[in-house]
Amino acid sequence: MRYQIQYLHKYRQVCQHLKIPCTNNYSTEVNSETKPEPKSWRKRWDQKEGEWYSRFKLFAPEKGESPDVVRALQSTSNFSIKAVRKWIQKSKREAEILDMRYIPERHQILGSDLAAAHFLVHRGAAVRFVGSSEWIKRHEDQYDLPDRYNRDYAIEAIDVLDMKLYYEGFQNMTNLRSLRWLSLRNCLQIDDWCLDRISSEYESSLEYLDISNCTRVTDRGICALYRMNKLRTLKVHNIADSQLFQLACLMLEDINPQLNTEGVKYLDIGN
Amino acid sequence: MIKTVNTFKLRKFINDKFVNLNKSAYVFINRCESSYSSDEPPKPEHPIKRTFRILGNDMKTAKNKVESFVERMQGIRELSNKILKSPYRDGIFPEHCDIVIIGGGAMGSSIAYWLKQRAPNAITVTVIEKDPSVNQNILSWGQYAEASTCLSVGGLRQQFSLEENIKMSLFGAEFLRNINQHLSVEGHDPPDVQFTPCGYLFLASEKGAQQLEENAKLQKKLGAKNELLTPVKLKQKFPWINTDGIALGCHGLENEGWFDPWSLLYAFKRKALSLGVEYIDGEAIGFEFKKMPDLLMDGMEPGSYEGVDKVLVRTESGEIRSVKFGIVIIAAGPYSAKVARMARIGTGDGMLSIPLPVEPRKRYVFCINCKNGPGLNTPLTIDPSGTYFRREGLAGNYICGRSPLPEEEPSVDNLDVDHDFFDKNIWPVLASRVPAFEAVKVKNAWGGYYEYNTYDENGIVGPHPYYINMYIATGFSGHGIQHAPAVGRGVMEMILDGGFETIDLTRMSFDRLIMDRPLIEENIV
Repeated sequence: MRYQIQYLHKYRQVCQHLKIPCTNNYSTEVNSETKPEPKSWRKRWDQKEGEWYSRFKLFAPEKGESPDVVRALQSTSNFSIKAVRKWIQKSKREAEILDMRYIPERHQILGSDLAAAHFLVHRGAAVRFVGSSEWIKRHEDQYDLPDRYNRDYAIEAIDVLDMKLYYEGFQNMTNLRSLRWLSLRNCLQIDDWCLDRISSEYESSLEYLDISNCTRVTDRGICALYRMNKLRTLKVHNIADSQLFQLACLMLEDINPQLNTEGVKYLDIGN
Repeated sequence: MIKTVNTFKLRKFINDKFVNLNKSAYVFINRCESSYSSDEPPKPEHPIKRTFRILGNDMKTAKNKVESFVERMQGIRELSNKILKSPYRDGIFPEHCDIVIIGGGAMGSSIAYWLKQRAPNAITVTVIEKDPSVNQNILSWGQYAEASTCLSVGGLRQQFSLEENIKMSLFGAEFLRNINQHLSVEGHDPPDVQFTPCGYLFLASEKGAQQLEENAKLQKKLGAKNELLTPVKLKQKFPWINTDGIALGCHGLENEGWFDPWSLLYAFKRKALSLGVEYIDGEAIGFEFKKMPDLLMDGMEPGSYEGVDKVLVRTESGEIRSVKFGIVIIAAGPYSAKVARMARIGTGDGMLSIPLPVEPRKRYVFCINCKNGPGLNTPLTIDPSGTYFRREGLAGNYICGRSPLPEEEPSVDNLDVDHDFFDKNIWPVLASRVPAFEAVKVKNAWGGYYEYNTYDENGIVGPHPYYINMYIATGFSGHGIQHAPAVGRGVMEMILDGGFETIDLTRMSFDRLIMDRPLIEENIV
């Protein structure tokens, strides 16, 4: 059979050479949008030709028991205080991340800018639009934003204040073409991956970025900001303690001469 | 009289079934592996002796369990001496398990982790790894000397031309982002893979520009972010580049960069161990087969099925033990073809005549230092000739390499580095692409094996068509580490769910070798 395979391979090459239609095509030449071909290479054992089943096959389960059910039945519940506390924390975190998910209807009705504004302001952040100088915040669950798409509203500045913004929340803040000012100060969930996200989303417009007190950011996150060529101010108070971090900020300023980093204490080489 | 006849028949029955059967299996292995004809295959064991041995082992296991329970109650932490006494979880060699994984690198450990976290109490998983520690004197915890995982450059990119590869990389990025939730173990530091999100830059000449553009479109459709750059824009963004001969560049914007593969492997292994996976330090040297005449399958003579039943392991102390398994997974990296041959894949008839086309290919990685090299704005750049380089740290160090042409493939006997390769093949290309690299110094170099799939340079993930209990997850030809989480999850879904649930990898199964449908990936580095 090995030789048959090699023969088929050669046959395909010869066909291509002579421009004869060949029945033996590469998988990648098949349109990947359609159902992948291999589903026809192996037939399920109960769908083969010659198999016969009665009408009761309707009730036959297609799959076996889910291993999740087995796992739940076999696990011994741990009701110690530490475990309960851990479970509560985990559930809280999962609920918060679920809160950050992308809702398509919101963006369809409101458009990208207003949808992001609603998302942020509802959860405690402040937003400022192009052409106005007042910050829109919420006062006891009330805030003043239009509830239909309005072309005149373009977000210019976002201040996260005391909102817990996770990586998943950035899905709701896409397509903000006029965003120039972003402050993520005191938001402890911001880490290198978020900076990677920010750097790819807002690379063409962001001029001010404040990530002070975001202790999870490391020098590698600063490296990710190399794509932002419009960045003018970068604030990194209270995270720039290591030499590596300071070096990264220095190198960032090298490639972006108009950048000004604040919050880094460079080593004084005079002494 | 009846009694004597019965005992005579009983003894004959025992001899036939147990003693002679083992003999035939070992004869086969002796024929195949001439290298260990000097070793003594274990003598077939008398069943009465076996019964007493197993009972003795059970007593030992029970005693160990009681002792550790008592110690925990008394608040004494397990002393490291205990580990020295016996490297096995229950104090004895695991003679049987549900799923055995041959190969404990990133792939094997990932599969073990996903299996055990889905069904922690339902299955026992054993991983056989032949190369766990470097220094035999100090009891170091798993330093893989020649495993490809740790010698890898550790890149993560979505710039592939195959839909499955793109999806697997996207999941790899998501997994690494949430690695704390997945792989953290109580009482230990959280895992840190040190991901540097600096992106990838693929450069294409006139010939490859069309393909690059199509790939970029497909990647965007599946959720990856990238931008196509003309030579003028390339020069603007990356002033250190020399755009002679470049028609188009594709710059990955998000979830692309590089990380530390050793940390990922360590995290997988530690989490797997904490979930109850047993790691055996030994080398798989053969399989034992079992005839199953009542098993019927398409494509073979009825009654001729002979399945794999046990794997023979040569442990560190030199003795040969066997592990009886329910399912075997071959994830042995560059040595997968050797393991597959032990199971008659490639040497049998019918479906067993197709060999596993994975072989080790040596690749060099050089660490160079350049004083005025490109600064922070250096993604992992790949020249149309295949030469790549990336920044390493912030002190002017760079890592570079190149896949040699097929006729220049270095020998794979050892991992020695050929420094002429840098001077002849890599440095001229680098210096012409990045003028600053005219003055570089080679600081360090190492070699590692690609688990190279000679058929179509893409991974083989799936069940074996003949053996009903064998799965294969190997052959990733240089981009395995970023796909390790996704492949682990895929294999787990295949085994525990019966099919792929999240990413559909049916196109990458072994079947394509039989059907002769190569799955060509254009962006191999």
